[in-house]
Amino acid sequence: MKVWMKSTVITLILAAIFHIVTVAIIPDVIMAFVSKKALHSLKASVNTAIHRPRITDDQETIVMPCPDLLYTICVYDVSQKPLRIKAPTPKDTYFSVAMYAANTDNFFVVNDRQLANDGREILLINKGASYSGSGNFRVVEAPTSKGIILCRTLITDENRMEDMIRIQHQVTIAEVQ
Amino acid sequence: MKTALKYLCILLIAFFLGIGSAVYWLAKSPLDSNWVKKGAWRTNILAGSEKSGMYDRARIAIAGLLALNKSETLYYIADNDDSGEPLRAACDYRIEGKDLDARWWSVTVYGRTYFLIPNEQKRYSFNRNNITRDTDDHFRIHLSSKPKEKNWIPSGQKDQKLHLTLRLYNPSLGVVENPSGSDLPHIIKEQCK
Repeated sequence: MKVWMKSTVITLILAAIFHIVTVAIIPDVIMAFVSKKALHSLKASVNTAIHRPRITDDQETIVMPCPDLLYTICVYDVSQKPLRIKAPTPKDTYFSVAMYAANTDNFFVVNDRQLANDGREILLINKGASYSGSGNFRVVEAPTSKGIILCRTLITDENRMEDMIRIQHQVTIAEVQ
Repeated sequence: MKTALKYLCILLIAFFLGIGSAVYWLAKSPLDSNWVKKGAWRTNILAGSEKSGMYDRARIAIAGLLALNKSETLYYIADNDDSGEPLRAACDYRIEGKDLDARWWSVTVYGRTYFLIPNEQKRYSFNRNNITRDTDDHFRIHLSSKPKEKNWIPSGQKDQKLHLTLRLYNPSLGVVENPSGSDLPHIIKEQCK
């Protein structure tokens, strides 16, 4: 094989590797960046619920936020301890708890109607871990030990913001000791 | 020394070629099999799903991080108007439609970088609960830099590309199974500066 041809083949193979690695790691890099930014800008720690005020143009953390929702965010790390999430079941608005893995996959979501039927408490455990405690909750296994929990409370009536905020603040997230 | 320099050049060219092609491919209009198109709108049926492929997952991470899966929420995105022209803040648009088949829906406008457009009114969207409907239950949203009488979303004074997102929370089963069968709002350009 001629030298220039060999160089071209090596360049293309390396370029393909760089291409694939770039595309593959983008979600993880963005999630890590958003998690770090959220913790830093909101002066919060992992495994705690952060109740955000209504999103406006001057206080955005992630792209394409929905300004009609109140967000509660939690950067989780269940490598050491599981997390217990208690959610409200409002009667007149939409509410959901969504869990995202480190690669951005939405591996679990439950809304107010499902919570009302199936119970308000969720236990998030690390992949492969088990939990022997008792209680009326559903157990969710996180595919990655780190990720993000995002709760959405819909603002159905702008004249009832206090009620909406009260519902939002009913979400509690705590490590299970 | 000469050989080391040669391999360094190969590495650098491969590095920029690999990353450049990745950025180009991700920025390219994503109309592969997981995207469903209807009029000016498109939706990725695997958004947020664990079944997403590598490219879709990266695209969603860039332009729609923390999306819910389709049974919970369908996200339709529009970068163009009905005639296929890119949405621009320098133009006025009408977004016309009727209530969508979901528990709740909203239309939100974003700027070039997918963030909300600053405006004094703090108005970025309209939704099922706060929109003013015409007598025949149809709605008309005005997207313009100048104030409009009702359902006005300010597009800002800075000319830039715009993106629209139509969210359907808890869409009906029919919409989930056939996202292109919905009667989605039309995006009509009125005039440009």
